[in-house]
Amino acid sequence: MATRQDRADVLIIGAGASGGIAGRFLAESGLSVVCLEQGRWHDRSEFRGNSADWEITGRKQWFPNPTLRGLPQDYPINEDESDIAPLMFNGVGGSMILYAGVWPRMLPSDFRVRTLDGVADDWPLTYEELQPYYERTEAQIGVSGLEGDPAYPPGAGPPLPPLPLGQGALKIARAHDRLGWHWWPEPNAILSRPYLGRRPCVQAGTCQQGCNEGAKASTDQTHWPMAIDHGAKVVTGARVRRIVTQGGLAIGAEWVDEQGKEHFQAADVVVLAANAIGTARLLLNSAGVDWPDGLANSSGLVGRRLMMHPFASVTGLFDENLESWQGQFGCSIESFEFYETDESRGFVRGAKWGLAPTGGPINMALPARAGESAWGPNHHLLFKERFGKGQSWGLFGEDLPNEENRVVIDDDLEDGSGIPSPKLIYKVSENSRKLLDFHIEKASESMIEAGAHKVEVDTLMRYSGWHLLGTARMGDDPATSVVDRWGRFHDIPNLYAVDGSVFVTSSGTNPTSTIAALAMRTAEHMVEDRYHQRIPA
Amino acid sequence: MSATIGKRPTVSDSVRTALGTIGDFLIPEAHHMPAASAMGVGTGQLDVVLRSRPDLTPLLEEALANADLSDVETFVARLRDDSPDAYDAVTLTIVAGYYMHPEIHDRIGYPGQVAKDVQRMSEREIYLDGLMELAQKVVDRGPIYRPTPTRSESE
Repeated sequence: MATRQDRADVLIIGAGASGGIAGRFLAESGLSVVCLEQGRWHDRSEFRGNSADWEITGRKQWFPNPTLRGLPQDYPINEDESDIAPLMFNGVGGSMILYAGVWPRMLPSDFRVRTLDGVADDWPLTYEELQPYYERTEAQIGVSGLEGDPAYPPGAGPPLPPLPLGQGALKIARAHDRLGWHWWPEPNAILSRPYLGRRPCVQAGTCQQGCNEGAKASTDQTHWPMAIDHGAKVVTGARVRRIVTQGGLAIGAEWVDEQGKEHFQAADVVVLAANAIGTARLLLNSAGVDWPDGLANSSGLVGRRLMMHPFASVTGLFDENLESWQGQFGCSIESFEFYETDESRGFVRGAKWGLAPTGGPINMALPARAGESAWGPNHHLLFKERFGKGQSWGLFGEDLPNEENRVVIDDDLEDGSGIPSPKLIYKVSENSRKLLDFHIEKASESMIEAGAHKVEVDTLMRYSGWHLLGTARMGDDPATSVVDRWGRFHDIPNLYAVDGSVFVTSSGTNPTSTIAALAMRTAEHMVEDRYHQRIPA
Repeated sequence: MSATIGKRPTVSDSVRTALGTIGDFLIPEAHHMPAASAMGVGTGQLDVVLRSRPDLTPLLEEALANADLSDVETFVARLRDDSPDAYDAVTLTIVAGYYMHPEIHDRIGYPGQVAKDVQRMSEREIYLDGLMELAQKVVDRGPIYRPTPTRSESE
């Protein structure tokens, strides 16, 4: 029999980026907050970045794909019909534990794709509306960067100066100067100075194995401790089975603990912060008599319009040792030179480029990077040519929404608590393929101009689905959107989404900064509008 | 950098022998670099790898316990084509064992992932000669964002 917990003002499902931002704001505003998180807290000493085995544990225990990682707190995902494998982490801090920490804002045009380019849809808000929330979340997170990037309208820049850029970035910056192309120091959610009790980056290059220093921001450090100080409760090892509704309102959630015991958490308001796959899974798993096609799914769009940013990397190899196993990982510089639509290219929209190091010796020695010719007597020559001498442009192409790209519930697969797992159906579009081909060509030009003697390309990398977006899109019309401009579900007025599921379009930028800004905006609106908020009797 | 220590992983002798043989095919002695077996990819370094990645053990046993290595090149090609997961496990085990060896670190000039104190780095070291001047030139070229209408086409 399920146990019942005291009714909370707000129940948040998921303790990652968006849950942390919203949870802290709501708790600091005096609301009682309970967060259910299927993972657990992680001490920084657990991360393997300062251990000799960092490269091999990063391929299993700390690998970002949950199906391959297979930890008890993960849920498996059927990826058989998806061109891209999703990446995430389940724990307090969420995917921020393993993300790169790259923190660019979306550009103004990203919010007006239909108006400007005649494709997809406009957002129900503008860059200018979101700008104050970008600035406030950047201050909480501790973003390092350089103010004045001409790719953006004027406004406050990051609170901290940029991280070291390195000799490789200097080569590329000089090349772009000669070409007349845009480049700029990349904003990163990684500290370049001591900030709010946290230590700065040590340039160890192991950001994606978890940051031992705590220099890379994650909400387990930057938000949940403050929320807890204001009375919030984070329940870990808590897998949510379904959202329960009554009389057209959410009344709470059923969840399962690590021992398999069933619980019910009652709340006045429920906030979904489980990422675009987890939130869609939960809504679809909450189908019932009143909602046969999934909770809050009168539009039929829950789970649809999944976007994951098709990704390619272009690596330039240089003659000199650039120590390209070190540095933030994270990016050093970015380029928006070819971000906007130019119809003469044969596709719409564009990609943001971010320059990253190329990793440690094991990464550079394996065939995935060096090809099968890596083996035999030439192994040593190829390794010597590559190790420490690379710089890599990562290309995130804008992924236009397509209703056929979607999350559904798998017929057979389930997690360790018996909760049905999601299945992804996702195909890379022709526009994305043309877009990446063009950007690979241009990024190769960048490398050659910088002096690279060889350029290596990885295109449409399978394990690149960091950016999970768009399965409960925002909009003003309940017939064509799932949540309104404040993240509130059209169908259930005390149910909100604050994660990447609400994205209307994907932009071509790393989305965590926008997820964070939207989460703060939604939380602020919840507080400001609380006297009008309908809640269960 | 610390390494994981603990009980020696249990792997059959045939797997250890096979890893040394395949290792020398993939990474032979050449160009002043030692062969994989000389760095212990089937012995001590195998233990190092498997202490951190015990999940590799069953894959290695399945792939190599009864391997016919009279023609190593053909065996490796078949493994790659027919059992990609096993191939990935074998190649990762060999490469990891080799490149985690301190002697190899010395030879390739890899000090490990070194912690640098950003606070103590000079401005010159962080921003490098001329970098900020280059950034100013980007600013001088003017804004590149597209101005957007306040109202949406859909409104």
